[in-house]
Amino acid sequence: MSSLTTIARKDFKDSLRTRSIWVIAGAMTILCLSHILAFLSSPIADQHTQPFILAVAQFTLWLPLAAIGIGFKSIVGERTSGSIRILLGQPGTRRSVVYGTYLGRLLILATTVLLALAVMAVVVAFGFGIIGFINVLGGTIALLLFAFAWIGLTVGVSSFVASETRAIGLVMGIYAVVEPLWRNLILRLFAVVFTGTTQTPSQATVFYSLEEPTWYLYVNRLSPAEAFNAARYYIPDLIESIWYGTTISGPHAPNVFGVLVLIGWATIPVFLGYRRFEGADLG
Amino acid sequence: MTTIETTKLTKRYGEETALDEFTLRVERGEVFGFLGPNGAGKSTTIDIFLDFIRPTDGHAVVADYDPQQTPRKVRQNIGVLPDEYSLYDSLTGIEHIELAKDLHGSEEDTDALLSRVGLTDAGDQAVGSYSKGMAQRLAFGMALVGDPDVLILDEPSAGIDPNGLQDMREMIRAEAEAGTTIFFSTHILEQVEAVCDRVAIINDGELVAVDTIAGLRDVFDRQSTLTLSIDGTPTALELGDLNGVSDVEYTDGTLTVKLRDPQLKSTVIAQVEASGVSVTNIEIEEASLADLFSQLTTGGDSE
Repeated sequence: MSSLTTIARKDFKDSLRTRSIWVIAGAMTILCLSHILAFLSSPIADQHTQPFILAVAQFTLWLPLAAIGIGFKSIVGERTSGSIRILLGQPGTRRSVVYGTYLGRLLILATTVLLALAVMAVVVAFGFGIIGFINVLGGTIALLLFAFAWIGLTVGVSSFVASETRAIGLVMGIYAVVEPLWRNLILRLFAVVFTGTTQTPSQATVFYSLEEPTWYLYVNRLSPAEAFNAARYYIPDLIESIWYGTTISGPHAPNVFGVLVLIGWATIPVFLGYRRFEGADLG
Repeated sequence: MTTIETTKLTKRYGEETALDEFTLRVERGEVFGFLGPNGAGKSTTIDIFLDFIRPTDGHAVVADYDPQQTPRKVRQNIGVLPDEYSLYDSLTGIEHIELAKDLHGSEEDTDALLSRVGLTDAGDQAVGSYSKGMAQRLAFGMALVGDPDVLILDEPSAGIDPNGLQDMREMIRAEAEAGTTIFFSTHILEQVEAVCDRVAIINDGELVAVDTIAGLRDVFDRQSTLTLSIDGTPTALELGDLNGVSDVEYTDGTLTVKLRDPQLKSTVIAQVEASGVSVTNIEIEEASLADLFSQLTTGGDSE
């Protein structure tokens, strides 16, 4: 077994037995579930034709926080506790420590997300009476991509910095920029650059229309949350179009770009974090 | 055969120099003590051996490889009990040994390794429930995985009780008898006296002395200082030419002479008086290795 997979397995096993990770996973499940239950009890519940996609959407807010909770200590915690001195006293490289740990945390987050989603699926199937195989498949793929984006970012930050305080500060700062501040601040700044005004198109028409200006279709998807919001419609659509030979309702190019953005968030920060970690003094 | 070698190894943090052109050779099969006060540069040196930190200048060779060039090869050939480490609380003793085995690609018997470090009965407990002494044994057991040529032990006695200390000493001795080179750092003189073939003393990032314990004793235990209060200024005094005088200093009515050979005291006094000044007071101070070391470790406050 390579040192990377050995370290991934160690990290996965260690995480499985860490209570705080299950507390975080439980909280994420309950919070997502509470939203879908609220929808279910609303008078327009039966107007939702894709309730599973609605369930998947509930993760937009909470999954990043769970990923941050599960991942922010992953590398920097080994540095501050000193367990990295045991690990790197054994044959292995800094590369296998970063990527092995990344793989371990990615599997843990995927496990917790899939468990939460399974609970949601049961509620959706019984509550709305419809679920739809393609929506389950496509929605799950989109959700996993979103999870990988956030664990990649978080483990990347954790490899980049030398203290846990800086790790949580930096990753929460990024969260603030790409989630709560995105629409009302960051996108408006982009709007000024591209249009000269702070006006941005309304969110309701993001997915199904080609009316939005091109810059917006791409820039908006730089946020993993927005890329995910588009992907959770696009991927099932794409599967359906391949499966049944139907035409897709949204544009390909910006949506493919959005999927690539998610893959980028999943891989680039962890690569940058590794580069920094490779050069750091771990004394 | 040299198994650990440093050449002008230097580590600077900004203005601060942690290690200054440090050059050292350790032969294969030696039990080598690396002695120095806290903050002298012991951990810095060992951290460079393990590629936890990178030298500003110079280089090291450990078990035939440069740790900065090929850290993995070094780690494959050595076993490490690092300083200020921690284990994984949720994993068991067996899982820790297996982690080390997997990383080494080793097929050794886990139970045999656990029994070598006296943890046969605790192997299936989570390490979070271990005492400090048990954790130290387990870390030592992990260091033994892969039958290393060199064992590097950084302050192996830190935080363990006297019983644990005795056990640790026996485990180190057993490995030494099996032919493993052992490089171990400590700030406690008695520990190197008990087990080491040779000792290096480091202070302020610089090598102070390297020798056998007996050799160091020969040098330091025979060092004595003669302090003479004198009337008049000594002129034409050639004490430095005497074989056995290592240092002469004169300030303001006080002549300080350091002697390697204690027999010279009367000769020195006679020569001083012969030069025409009168000696009003004589103080003699005998140094020992322990004194020298306590001076280093307490910054000279021991007197």
